Parts: sequence; C-alpha cells; structure tokens
Amino acid sequence: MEIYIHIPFCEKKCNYCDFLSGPADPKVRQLYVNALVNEIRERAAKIGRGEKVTTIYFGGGTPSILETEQTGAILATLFEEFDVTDDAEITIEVNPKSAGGKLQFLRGVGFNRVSIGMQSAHAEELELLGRIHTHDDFLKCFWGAREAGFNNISVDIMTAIPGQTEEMLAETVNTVLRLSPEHISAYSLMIEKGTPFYERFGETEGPVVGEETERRLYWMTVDMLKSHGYRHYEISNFAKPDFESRHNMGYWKREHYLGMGLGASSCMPEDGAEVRSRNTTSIEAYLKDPLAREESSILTRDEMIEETVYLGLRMMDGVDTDDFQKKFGVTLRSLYGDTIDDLSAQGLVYEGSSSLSLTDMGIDYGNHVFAQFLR
Amino acid sequence: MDREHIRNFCIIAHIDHGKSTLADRIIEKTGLLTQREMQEQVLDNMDLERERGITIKSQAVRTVYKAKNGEEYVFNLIDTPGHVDFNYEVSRSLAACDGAILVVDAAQGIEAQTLANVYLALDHDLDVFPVINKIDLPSAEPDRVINEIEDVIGIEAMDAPKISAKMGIGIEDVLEAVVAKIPPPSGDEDKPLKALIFDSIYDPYKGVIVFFRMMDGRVKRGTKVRMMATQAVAEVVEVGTFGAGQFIPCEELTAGMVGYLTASIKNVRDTMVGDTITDDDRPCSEALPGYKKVQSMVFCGVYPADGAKYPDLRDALEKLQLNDASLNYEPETSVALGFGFRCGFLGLLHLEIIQERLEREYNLDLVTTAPSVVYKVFKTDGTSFDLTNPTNLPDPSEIEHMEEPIVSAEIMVTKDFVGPIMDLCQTRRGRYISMEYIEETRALLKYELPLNEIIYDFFDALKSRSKGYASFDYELKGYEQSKLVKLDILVNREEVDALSFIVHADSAYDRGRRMCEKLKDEIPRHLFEIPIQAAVGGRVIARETVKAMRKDVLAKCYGGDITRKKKLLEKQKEGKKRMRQIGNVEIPQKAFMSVLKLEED
Repeated sequence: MEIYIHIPFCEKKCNYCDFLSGPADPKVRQLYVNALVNEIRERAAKIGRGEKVTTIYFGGGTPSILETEQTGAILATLFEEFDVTDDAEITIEVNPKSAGGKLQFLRGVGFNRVSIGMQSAHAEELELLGRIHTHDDFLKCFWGAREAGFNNISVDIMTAIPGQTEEMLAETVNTVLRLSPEHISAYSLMIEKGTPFYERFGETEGPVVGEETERRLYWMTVDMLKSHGYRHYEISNFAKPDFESRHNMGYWKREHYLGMGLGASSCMPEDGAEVRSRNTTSIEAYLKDPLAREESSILTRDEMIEETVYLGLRMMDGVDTDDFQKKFGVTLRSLYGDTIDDLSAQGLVYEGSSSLSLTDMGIDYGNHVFAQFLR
Repeated sequence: MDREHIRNFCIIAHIDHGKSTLADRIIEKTGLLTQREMQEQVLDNMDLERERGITIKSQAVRTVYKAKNGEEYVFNLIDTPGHVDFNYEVSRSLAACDGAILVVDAAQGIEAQTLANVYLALDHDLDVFPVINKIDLPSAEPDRVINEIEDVIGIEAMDAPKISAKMGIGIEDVLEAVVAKIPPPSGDEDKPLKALIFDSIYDPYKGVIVFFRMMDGRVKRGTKVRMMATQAVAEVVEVGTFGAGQFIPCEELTAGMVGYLTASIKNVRDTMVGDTITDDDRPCSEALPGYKKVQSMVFCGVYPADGAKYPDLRDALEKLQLNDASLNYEPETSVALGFGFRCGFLGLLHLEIIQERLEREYNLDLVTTAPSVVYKVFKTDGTSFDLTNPTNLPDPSEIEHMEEPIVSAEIMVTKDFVGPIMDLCQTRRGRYISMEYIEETRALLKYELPLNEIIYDFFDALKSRSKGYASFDYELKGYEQSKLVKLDILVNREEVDALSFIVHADSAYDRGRRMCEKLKDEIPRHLFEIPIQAAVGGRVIARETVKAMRKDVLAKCYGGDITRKKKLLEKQKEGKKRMRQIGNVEIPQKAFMSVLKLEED
C-alpha cells in the first residue's frame, strides 16, 4: 500500500490553485501536526501492520513550510506505526523558496525524492501565476537538493500559461533539461473555479491560450523531453528510465492508498470491500477529530472495472489486459469489445497483444475515450 | 327550482384580466365553500393551468345565491377556455349560456381577445354586461375603460360594477347584476330531450362524464340517450350538478339546467363537444346548430427520448385521448428519432399543453419535431391528399401544385408599435386587410396570414416587438395555392428527416440559414468537423460548420481527484445519452426543439 500525507499550508495561495490549502499561523500548524500524528497512530491501530508500505508522499499545499522537526516527527511516526519497506519511495513536495536549508535534514530523516515546483523559468510568468519564488530560488533549491544527496528529483513545469509562446516554453523546458532531473511533470494550466484565475480568465471556455496553442505547447514539450531520453509514461509525466513516480503509478494502477491529513483521500480495503473515502475538509473538524470522514463509498465491481480502464489508460503503457483478466476473471474485450473496436477505428486507442493504450490522438481526447468505458 | 331562478352564464375576458379570480370570488360569496376550502383558484384544477394562468378544459360550477330581494337563485357558471386554439370549445360553452360577464382590466382596457370573445358571445345572442376589474391598481382608469367599452363594443357600460376581484371589492354588485341582467333560460320540459354537450371528461370508474346544458325535456337515470352526431346510444346511470370541484348526483335534470350524466360510455369520442343529446325513445326532430367535427390544425412528430419508452408513450397518448377528443395520433417512424407518433393538435398551445402533460403526468422525456400545418397536395395524376408530415411530400415532379391554410388575424396594438408589427406581418407573408384606430392610441390591425407562418414563434415575435402590448387572435379562413418547398437539413451530409419542413419558396433561404446557425450552436463539437447544410430539392442553400474539438483531456488525476474526475466523466457520458446518433454525429435532443424558435432578437 501507499501513504499520502496532506499538508494544507502554504505561504500564499497561487492564482491558479484550487487545492485544499492556505496560509495559517504557526500555532495552527503545530496543532495540525499533533492531530496528524494522532490520525496516523489511530489509523494504523485500526488497519494493523498487514500491508507493507511501498511509497510515502508528502503533498500540499507546501509541505516544506513545516519546521523540519515537525516533518521529521510525522515521518518518524509513520515509520513507527507502519511496515515501511527499505526501498520505499519517500517523496516530499517543496517550494523553491521555503525548502532552502531544510533539504539536508529532509534527506537525513529518510526522504529520498523531492518534487520541486518550478513552473516556469520566466519571471513574468511566475508573477502572473502568483508564485512566491524566483527562478534563482529554484536553481538554488535544485542544486541544494543535489548537494543534500537527493538522486531522484522531480521538477514541475506548467504549460498553457496565459501569454505563453512556444519560445518561452521551450526556454523553460531547456532550462530543466540542462539540470537533468530524473523526473518531470508538465501540467497544462487549468482554470479552476474559485481561484483568482477563474475571476480573471473564467469567461473563456477551455484553455486561455486557445485549444490549438495548448495542444501545440503540449506536444512540443512531449517531443523535447522524449528526444532527451525521458519516457513519456503518463499524460503529463516524464521520467528517465526507472524513475517513474512509483507513488503516482499506484493511483493509476489502483494500488491501495491511505491518505491522512485534512481532506486526504484513501482507497483501502474495508471488510472485504474496497472503499474510497475522504477525510473532512474542515480544519476545525479535523483538529477535533482527525478520523472524521467527509465521504465514503464502497466500490462496486463495475466501478473497479471502470477505474482500472480509465486510470490505466492515463499511462502510456495502458491497461495490462492480462492483469485485468486475472483480477476480474473476464477479458477486457468481452466487456468492452464494441467500445474498443469503435475507438480503434477512430484512431483513439491501440490494442496490443496484452495491453490497451491511448494513441497520440487518443491523448488529445482522453476524456472522450475514458467516458466510453463508464458502465 | 323553477327556470325563473336559474342563471346560466360565463365569464369572458382577455388573458390575465382576472376571470378566474372573479370566478373564485363568486363561488366564495355564494357561500358554497368556506374561505379555508378555497384553493387559490377553484376552477383551474390542473397544475398546469395554474402555472400558465389560463383555463384549458371548460368546467362548470353550480352555486346558490341569496339575492337582496330575498330569493335564492341557482347560478351555473360555465368556465370557458381562454385561448384561440380552443375557439370551438369556447363557442360551445357560450352556446350553453344565456349571458356573459365581460371582465375588462381597468388599467389595460380592451384587448384583442376581449373583442373576439365579446363578438363570439354576441353572435350566440348572449346578454353581455361588463365589469371593470382591478380598480385597486394605481394605474386603473375605470372611466376611460367604460368609455372605451361603449365606443368600441357598443354595449351599455355606465353602470358596470367597478370591482377588484383580488381584493374582494364590489363582488355583491356583480352577483346582483347577474340576477338582474342575465335572463333566465327558456325551454320546455315537456318537449323531447334536447341538450348541448359542452365538455366531457373520462373517469376510470364512471367512464365518460358528459357536461351539458338542458335545452328542452328531462333526463334521469335509466333514460336511453342518443348523441345525435356520433349516433352513440347509452343508458344513463347517473345525473347530477356541479359543486365546486365535485359532482352532486340528483334525481332529474330538466330544461334550463346545467349538469352531467354518466352512462358507462368508454370513449370521449362518442360525446363530442357540440353534439346534441336526445332521448333515443323520443328523439327531438333536429339537433342543435353549430356542431363541428374538431379538426387538427397543427401536427408534429412526438418521440420518446429513450426509444425503449415507446410503449409508455403509446399508453400515455391513449389515456390522454380518453380525455381530449381533439388530440389525434398515429404511429410513425423517423430515421433520426426512431419510433414515435404523428400527433394532431388544435394549435400550438394545445400542442405544448399535451407535450407538458406527457412529460409531467406520465414522466416521459420527449423529442418533438417542428410543427407542421396540413397542406393540400395536388398531384399531376389528378389525385390530391392532405400532407401532415413533410417527409411524405412526393417528388416535386409529381406535384401539380400545393395549397396552404390561411387565417384571418386580428392584432390589437398601441400606436407606437404599429410599424414593427406591420413589418412582422409583412415578413410572415401577411396580406394587409385593414387598420382602424379603436381609440386614439390603439389600432386594430387585420391581416391574412399563412398558418405555417404563425405556428412557429409568431406570438413570441409579436410580444417582443410590441414590448408585450400586442394581443392577437385568429381563425382559419381557408386554403390558398402557394409556392411551397421542402427544406431538408443535412448534418455531416446525412439528411435528418426529423428536421425537414415545408416552407414558402421565398423564405427557404432565410429559414435554412437560420436553421443552420441554430444547429451550429446546439450541436456539440466532435472530434471531427461537421458541416450543417440546408437544402431544397438536393440543392444546398445554406451551410455552417461545427469546428472540430481539439482537446478534451484532464492534465491531472491523482488520488484525491479520482472521485471528482469520475463525476465529470459521468456527466459527459450522461450528456451523450440524451443525444441522437445521426451517422457518426451526436445531436442533442434539445437541437430538435431549438429550431422551432428561430426569431432573431
């Protein structure tokens, strides 16, 4: 199984961000860490030490905003309460601004992967996005991570930023390529409701830069990264061989995961069934009772099948049809033969000997393809 | 009760002038119901009617009024539908009355329907007296309206009761005026039974309940009645009168009375509005005048959104028809929409009402095609037929000529909007007949218009061009030869039969263009480009393109997103379900309806 830890704090909310996070004063942060440690203990007591933990991921918000002692205490609790494998992938997301000086410590307490939110190499884009860091901060952070001994670094960049041209994006990508991180995530900007960007750009439907440009920027990024030895292994993710994010792959392969912290989601076995659940999203409620759930639903076999397909298709290797048959006792084809033929004929999916995957065109219309597999 | 103490009357008014409210007050004041029992509007007992603020099926109420002279009078208040679609039903209801209360809004004055209804009432020799309603409104000008009534209609209005039905002001005066100004019914109890059917409804337990006005003779349980037009014969099981919203059985009904009968009749088609009831053993010599077989004026295809619901739609139509003799339907098949029915209606409102009832009362999701009027097609081989479905139009080479229905329309409008309204009539191929100013600021326009030009959105256009001030009334005049063509719509080069319609050759281009524009907005982008074309006889006259979608993919989907993203995908999939597949294009059901409203704002 995998563990996700949510740190819902940041110094300042970015203009495009609709995640569950926000600024909070140090007192609240300490209360939160206490509650989180309690949650870890109590959940562990409930679940028992049965399943080995293969990945841990600290996401946010900005996990690096916590004091190193706090982060260390949380991770130590996890080690204490769960059976974490020796080769577990343990990631922390960091902001280039707040990570400085903490990386050595983080490496020391057991983190072996950092994910740095770079987003862009251009000052004007960073400002538009409402990022608190500068490009210099990012470079320092990156080299700092290397110095601290991180040999698995992921860098996040953003495409389809309003005003972004191919030249600008190419410069950002090239900057990243020169640093040669093990992993790169390239996300196309989405305008989410409730964000300052929605106020500003919400009027336009679809990408602010236009669909054509958005796709051009996307495929340019794919081409550049692929030609530099990165494997395009998921719609927005790229990695040097064997450096795929094991944690995230778990989501797409439907591994069990236990999310802890405010609003964290889980997919865990409960009484013989698989249950998707989410922790409360109210900080007050969470501090009072860190086991409080906001929603929880038992997955039906049909839902598990659907998820296996549409989450699997996000990966370029696609759905492993042999695995599928093993898991569900039927072939994918017997359930979706017509759908697959239809989508193949439209050039949207490719059916291999033991896999079903998106074609390049299928990537552009991923949602359309995914929706066809809902039962 | 002797005839001298019976008053059979109706209330006539333009929409919204307060007819139903006054009816409620009359029922209330005559003490048949307590205040608490009063629903908002007793006469309108269909939800739908309440929302639309109009009365659809005529019904009757019998109340007892103790007049100031100390005597009790039976009031039979017969409700009449308030829309031009139901003109025939209105005329039969009027024929069942001896007088009418004319309600005129103290602020708005006379409207087109006021006039139409008054003339209809006078045609039936009813004694009409006016009532000025809504005097509580700040904008009320009762004296101006009184003058207007006298000038325009030419009936005495000086002593018209000034009332507010809403506030309950002046209701006594109305009741006294009913006693004083509406004559008691004439008729002879000893003559053979002669009664006028003005409505009938279907009840699952009692069968058809026939509403009628006794002209001569008597009827009671056991009487063998004959409907003179349909020749249906049945033995009466029950007779009675109308309480508010309930049936009150009685021994016998005699000349002059208004009531109902049941006789185990299975179908309202046997008891058509306007037919004459007589005694099969002692029939009257001739039927009452004015009976007409109801003709459907407007036709459209009605299809279940979910093809599997076809049997449900058939059952629902069957049930509705039990209650509505003017609804016609027969099965038809469309390439685009599957199995459905071609239904005939009295008019567009009737169509909308049936559609809403099917959706609401029977829980059906429907797709309807563009309404069509009945065209007469004369073929080169000398034969002719009535065309109700555009798809059945023969090849142009087989057509000698075609005729379309024409209506005489009266539009009343304030001076400022005469221009725009004339312009509208002109663009709708109207033939100008006359214009007269009924007072300084208001004109009555008379036009002859092709029915197919007004069934789409004429009323909406009229309202928008007159800022809501114009009122409108029409009746069928006859058929005229016309240059008509079939306009076909092609989506991705495939003809969509459900979107075909007949149009005048001169409007074909304009209609085609607007259809294409509308469809372009309604058809979602696909993975490929979709041409939308309008064609006449195989020649494309307009074209639009739905551009291809370039992108539909979410960049991120991690642990916390899965449930949320799935909902999004489900929505996307749900949306698809409500679409119709034409070739490889998915057309939302909405698109079939949206083309019905093409008026450009």
